Amino acid sequence: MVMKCPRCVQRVHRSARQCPHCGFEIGDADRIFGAEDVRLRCLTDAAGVLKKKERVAARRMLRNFQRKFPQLFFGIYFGSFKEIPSLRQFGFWLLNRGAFEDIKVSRPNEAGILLSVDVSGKAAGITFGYALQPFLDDEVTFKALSAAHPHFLQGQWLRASEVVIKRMSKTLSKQARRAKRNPEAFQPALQPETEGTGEILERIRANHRASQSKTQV
Amino acid sequence: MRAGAVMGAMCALLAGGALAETAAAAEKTEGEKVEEKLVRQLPALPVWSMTDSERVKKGEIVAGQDFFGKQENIQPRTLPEIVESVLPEPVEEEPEREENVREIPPEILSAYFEAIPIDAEGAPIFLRDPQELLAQQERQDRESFLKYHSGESKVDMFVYLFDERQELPEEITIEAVYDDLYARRGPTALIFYHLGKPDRAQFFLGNAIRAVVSEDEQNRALRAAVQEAFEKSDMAYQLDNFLVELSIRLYWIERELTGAGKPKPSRGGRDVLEARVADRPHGLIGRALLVVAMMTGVGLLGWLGYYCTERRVRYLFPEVDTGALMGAPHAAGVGAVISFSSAQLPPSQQRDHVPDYLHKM
Repeated sequence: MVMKCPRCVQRVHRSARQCPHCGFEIGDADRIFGAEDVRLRCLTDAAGVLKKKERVAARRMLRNFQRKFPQLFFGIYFGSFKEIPSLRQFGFWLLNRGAFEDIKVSRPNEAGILLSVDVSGKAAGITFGYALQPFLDDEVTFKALSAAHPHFLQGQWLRASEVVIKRMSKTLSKQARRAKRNPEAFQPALQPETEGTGEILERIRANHRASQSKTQV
Repeated sequence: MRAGAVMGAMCALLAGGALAETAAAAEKTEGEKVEEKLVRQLPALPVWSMTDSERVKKGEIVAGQDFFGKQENIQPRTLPEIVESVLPEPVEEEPEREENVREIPPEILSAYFEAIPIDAEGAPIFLRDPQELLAQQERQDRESFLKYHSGESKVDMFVYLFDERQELPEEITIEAVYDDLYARRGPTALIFYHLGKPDRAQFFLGNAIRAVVSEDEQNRALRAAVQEAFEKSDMAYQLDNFLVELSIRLYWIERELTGAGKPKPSRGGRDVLEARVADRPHGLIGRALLVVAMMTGVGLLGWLGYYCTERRVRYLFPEVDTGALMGAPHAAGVGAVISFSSAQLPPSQQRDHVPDYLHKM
């Protein structure tokens, strides 16, 4: 269960309040994309790439996912992010600040998976909530995106989304079965409730600065 | 004789001429002189007259006749007479009578249909073969099978064996035989079987059975038995297969018979079932189609079961206690990002794991 920083893609340990490598935190993303919550639906076609029939089919697909996984939901966002510097940061921000209107409150964003597609920038990324951290990782999401890569290349957005959802569902169902058999295996190792790595780093830096000033004095 | 003299003279003349030339051309040796002396002693060569020449042309004399002996009755230049061949008048051939179609002699017929034969112990003989079409051992084997069937089933099978091409007289039908001999017995299945021609088999069930079992079912039983018989090439084995299959079918008919609450009237009254080659499905193709159909059915059922199970199954996850990362309230699970700008490069080479601050803005 290793998390990565959305900006520097370095490992971030559990409970770190900011990235120990680059100092990234949610506030940085808010400064780029806005601090207010964004109202959206689980299928948002801001880029307007889906036809009506495709939208219907995509919604049906998302409903099926939710029926199969009663705790989870899947969101798809098609956008054209010419002005956005990082799709990874955008996905991270949207899943934290997004208020999905058509998702019940019983399925919080912690249990969400978001597929963000930059249609003009030709990139796609996946972000997932805290509840899925033990069950998903970078490799799993990469495999799902790789399977959909040919369809992304041809602009078959619905088909690409379908492939991603299918792959993710397969992985999730396997993980759910494993978790049912052995729930302890997916519980994160208990760690003392100490300060995050970011705070330690800050203290080290502060001490370093303090010692420097003392030396100067 | 004269002609012989002429020939001798010619030879001598030729020989003499040649010697003269030699003597003139070269110097005469001692041997040549002796030879010349001998030639002089020979008689003078005969001379051809015009008359001889004409006679030779006419064929009155033959050159060399004296050497080859006298040939009498020589007909010069006689051509053989052309004899006109006399063709026989076309005779209308009588159509050959089909040899294979044979009538059964009356004494044999009486042996077949006089009465139900019984053995020494008084038990009925189920296989009638007075023409001894089967070998003794073969007959005993089939008879013992029919006895076994009779012990296991309530419906006895009586089999009459005929030759491949034999025809029964018109007045002897399977119905008539049943009425005469078997009507007062219990449930009986009467079979006329032509060895080597299973498709000519006739099958007749008693009235009690026909009242319950539909004609279609009876027909199916017979067709199945014929089809089984055709699986073998040997006539005796064909009969084996036929009887075994029919015995199995009779078992099911019997079960229907015992389970039937009300007897169902048969549609065709007392129709005799006759197997037809046209009704016989092609064995291999039929079986292959059956197997394919069964496999498709099983596959479809399997898929349907899987689909239903998959639709019904719900996957639940245990709650996991995770603290917030980087101040994010809901999610910090940053997965992969890939680019799909190039169709030539694989997804692994278009994977984006470079820090954002190293990207060109």
